[in-house]
Amino acid sequence: MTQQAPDEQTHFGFKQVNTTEKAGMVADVFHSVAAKYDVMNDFMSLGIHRLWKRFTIDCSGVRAGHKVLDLAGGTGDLAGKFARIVGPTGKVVLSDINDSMLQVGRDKLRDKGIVGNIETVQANAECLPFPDNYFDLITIAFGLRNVTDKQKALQSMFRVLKPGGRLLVLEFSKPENDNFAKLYDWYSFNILPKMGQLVANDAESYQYLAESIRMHPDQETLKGMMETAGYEQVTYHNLTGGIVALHRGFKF
Amino acid sequence: MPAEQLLTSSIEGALNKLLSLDDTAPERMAKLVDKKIIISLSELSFDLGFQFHESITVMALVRDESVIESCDCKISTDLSTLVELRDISLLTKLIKEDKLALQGDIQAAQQFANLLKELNVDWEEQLAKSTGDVIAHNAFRAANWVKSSVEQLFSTGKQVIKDGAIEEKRVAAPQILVDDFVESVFDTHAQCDNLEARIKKLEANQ
Repeated sequence: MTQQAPDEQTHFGFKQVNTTEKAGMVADVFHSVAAKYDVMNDFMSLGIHRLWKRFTIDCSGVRAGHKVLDLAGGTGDLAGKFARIVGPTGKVVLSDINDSMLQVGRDKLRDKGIVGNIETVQANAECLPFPDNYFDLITIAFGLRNVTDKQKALQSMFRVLKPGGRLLVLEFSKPENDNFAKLYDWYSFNILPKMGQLVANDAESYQYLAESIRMHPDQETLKGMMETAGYEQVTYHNLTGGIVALHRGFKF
Repeated sequence: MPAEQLLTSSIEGALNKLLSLDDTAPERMAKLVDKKIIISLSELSFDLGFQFHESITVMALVRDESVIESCDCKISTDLSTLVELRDISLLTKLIKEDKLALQGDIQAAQQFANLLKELNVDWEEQLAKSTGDVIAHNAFRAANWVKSSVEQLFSTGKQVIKDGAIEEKRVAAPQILVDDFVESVFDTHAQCDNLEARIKKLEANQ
């Protein structure tokens, strides 16, 4: 494992920060929004995030008996569905670096009666605490852009994925149409922080959300990063005009 | 917006809501737990996957022949035939007519059909939960009265139009005349056949 130099810089939204500080700063954002996370997601996306997640599940090819890792799983939207699909013979690991998010997710799943085949693990995507070739499917939805070293995280996921398994990355991306992109920018930087202030009493976290989306690699760049990490047959599918893209890659 | 996911989400929401309103549904659902049924409709460009647990998960699946390996039963048909499937006894007839193709466990398909066919929701009770018993009872009594009045109106109207067309305007024939005409046609047809046979016989003798 490579050690990060303490003076190495990375982005936190539009700000440049020390790599060693980013994880803590992201953690602070999510500690702050955890309780209102689901409400805000519905409010900001008008519920469309549920359809994006459904699309991810439809593309997963997951079936009874499979082992699934839901990284940056947050409040467990994907993990809950996967737990039902893999059934009692399968296993789902809901993982997040942030314990506040994990706590909300665990409580939500328990309240829905989803227990038995689901485990929660607090882990950093850059150094996953799982054996090699272990999971049939790994998903990371709206999480990769918050990871400090994305390439390292993709490699770590590749290591724990079984040959024949697939990685699905659902993440904000670059809108295909320029006019739509301008409208989306206006919404992100003018409306989103105000919504955050109104609902979650936290405009700053939602300002970070908008900035982190702009700093995240676009569709083609992320595809290249996945190929560099070793994934094959990497494809992506734009959703809602490219606001979000689902990248899919296989390990053979 | 992913339209396919919007459709599956609506189907899933409606099915699970309906099942939750029927107290007897869990018993029928128990037979389907951990089973997966795929419905391939010719009108759609994707397959619908139904995964059963304590509720139902509906997925939009890419149309792929290999998908049969991962499910208990695959039903390939069109929307109008799917509606006919409410009557399970028609299953063999529909397969013979090539309107329906079934692969895998036929029992799973029958159990799914029964789950939906035997849905028994007490709508009056459901309404009473939010409006109270009196309002719900009166609303349903009024709705039933409207329904029977409309049915009565249609039935009367149909009879009036029928009588007017036959008796007054004489634009349609009464049933007895139609039957008589049909009988005459049959007789004429039979006589023609006889005549044709006799002519052929005479021609052969010449």
